[in-house]
Amino acid sequence: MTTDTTNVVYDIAALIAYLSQNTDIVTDTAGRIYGNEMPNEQAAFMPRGLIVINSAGTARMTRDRLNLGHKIFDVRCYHSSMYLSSMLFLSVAKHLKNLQRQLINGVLLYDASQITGRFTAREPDTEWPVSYGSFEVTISEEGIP
Amino acid sequence: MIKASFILRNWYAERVRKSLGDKLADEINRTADMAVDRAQQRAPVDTGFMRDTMRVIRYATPDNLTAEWGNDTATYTIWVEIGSQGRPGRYFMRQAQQEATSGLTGRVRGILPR
Repeated sequence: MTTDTTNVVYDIAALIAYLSQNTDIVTDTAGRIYGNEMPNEQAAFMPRGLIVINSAGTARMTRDRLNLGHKIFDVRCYHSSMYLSSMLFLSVAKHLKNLQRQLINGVLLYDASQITGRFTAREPDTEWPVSYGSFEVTISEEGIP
Repeated sequence: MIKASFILRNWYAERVRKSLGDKLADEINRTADMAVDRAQQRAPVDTGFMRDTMRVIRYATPDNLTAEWGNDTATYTIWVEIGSQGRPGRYFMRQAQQEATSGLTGRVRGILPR
């Protein structure tokens, strides 16, 4: 049996594509924007500008509108200092909060809002500076042709 | 500056506020206790220190209907919750908060006089 992936959307890829529209973010990270986790080959060059987006559940358990879901995404912005990681996070937060309804690669992004404050610290174990925050994004759960 | 104003106060409104405030604070505090219970059930356990130090940090009062719960002792709790490089987040606190607060608005509505 094979998994039927017809019309399934990868929401994180749409968010990565959306962040990649912002030239400041792309310049600051040199395009290093990843979903779920940091690739191993990047770890050797850290700390530097890099973003990781994680899916962190669903915001509302109520019946969603049509095929739109209210999803929570954690955004982690790494950089060479806590200041720079904060600044990168602020750029990302601003760009996400300015999100207006648009279709990216067949995924409808409807809106986004920041639901936690910015948290900046050095990660345990690695000591990499990171700024972290969560966003609620209204996003389509099925592909739109 | 000379001000022309009336103070508008009603003893009955104050009494209603006081009696409702107690009930509302109780409901919010019960919810915060529930969130701590749920978080303790879901918390990943190594030594048990993080789980055992989860608590309601600030209880709601009739004058301030806000409670705060979490862990202000085990400083690594945030990293367990959100994850870090090579350690995925466990999201146990957010799940606990969502479970505990589900239906809270309905319970609060039930307190209001009909």
